Amino acid sequence: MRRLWAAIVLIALTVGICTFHHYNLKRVYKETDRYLKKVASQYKKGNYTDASFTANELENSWESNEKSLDRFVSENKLENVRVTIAELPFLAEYDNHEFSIHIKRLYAALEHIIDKEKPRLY
Amino acid sequence: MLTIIIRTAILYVLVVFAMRIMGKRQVGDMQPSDLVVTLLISEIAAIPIQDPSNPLLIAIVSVFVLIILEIIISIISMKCGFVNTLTNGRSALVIKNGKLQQKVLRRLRITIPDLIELLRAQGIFDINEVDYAMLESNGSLSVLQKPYYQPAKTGDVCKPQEEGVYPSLVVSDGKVVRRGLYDIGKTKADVFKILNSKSLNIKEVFIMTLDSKGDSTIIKRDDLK
Repeated sequence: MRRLWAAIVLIALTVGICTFHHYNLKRVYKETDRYLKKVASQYKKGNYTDASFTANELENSWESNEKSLDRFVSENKLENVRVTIAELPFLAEYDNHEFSIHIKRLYAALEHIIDKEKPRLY
Repeated sequence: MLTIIIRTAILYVLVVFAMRIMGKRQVGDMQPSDLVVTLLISEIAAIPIQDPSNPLLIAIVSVFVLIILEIIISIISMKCGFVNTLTNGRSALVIKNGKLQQKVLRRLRITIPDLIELLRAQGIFDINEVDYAMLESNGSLSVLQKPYYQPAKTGDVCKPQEEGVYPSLVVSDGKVVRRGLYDIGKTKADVFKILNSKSLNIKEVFIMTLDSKGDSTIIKRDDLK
């Protein structure tokens, strides 16, 4: 009976950890997406200074979010996003064709993390 | 370096906790399902130590899941004989009445040198000394020697043993074990006849052993009053 209780506690812990991770990942994705959309629209309008400022905000936000994500997601995947985000403020300062490529790369990296965390049978 | 030391310490505590919570049978005689869980736990626990870029929590959650599965399966196995056979397999009689069961050996893919090696590990160097030998699901061999070769006991002075008689498990936790009945050539009716003579219901029986001569040992359940 004691083992059964231990199993119940472990099930609760596992479900809790997985649920927290799922919602945390969703929250981080939404937050990053919001920043990225803002940066992209400011950049499109030609407000390069504002775009660079927002990109800096995104960098700070990602830094704090990464701390909670690296408990569940491999560091290599997060590093890929971190490096791309770190380059954004410089690219947003001037009219640069690499800016849109970076935005696309960021989305691809984020979606890759989300996809890998989705439950799959294969 | 410090990360690896801390991770190793955490995983050491976790694996020891896992082995303790999964029960004592893990340590001594391992059933196939226990072996699989133990191998998986050790493999999973090694990943975050070998590669610090992998999160520690993934290993912890995976070990939790294995512990949960092991506990749930062991509880179901206790209640359901089919699940127990499915996960742990069952013992097989490889020598019956002093005769080698060649079909069984072929089915189990056990060669004669393997069997002789297992017998030697039991201190038996001549296969002719064996009356019954049973290969247990954990891979060990249980041997009943022919009475002539058995060490003398105080009880033998009063009641000499007969050849070809070995007690088989016929009731386990209130359920008839058909395999056990088959091994000694008895039927369900024989079991119920004995139980009726002792005014017992099968549900009240925790363990009942019976031999081909009809001698039985019954242990009643503690939880039924």
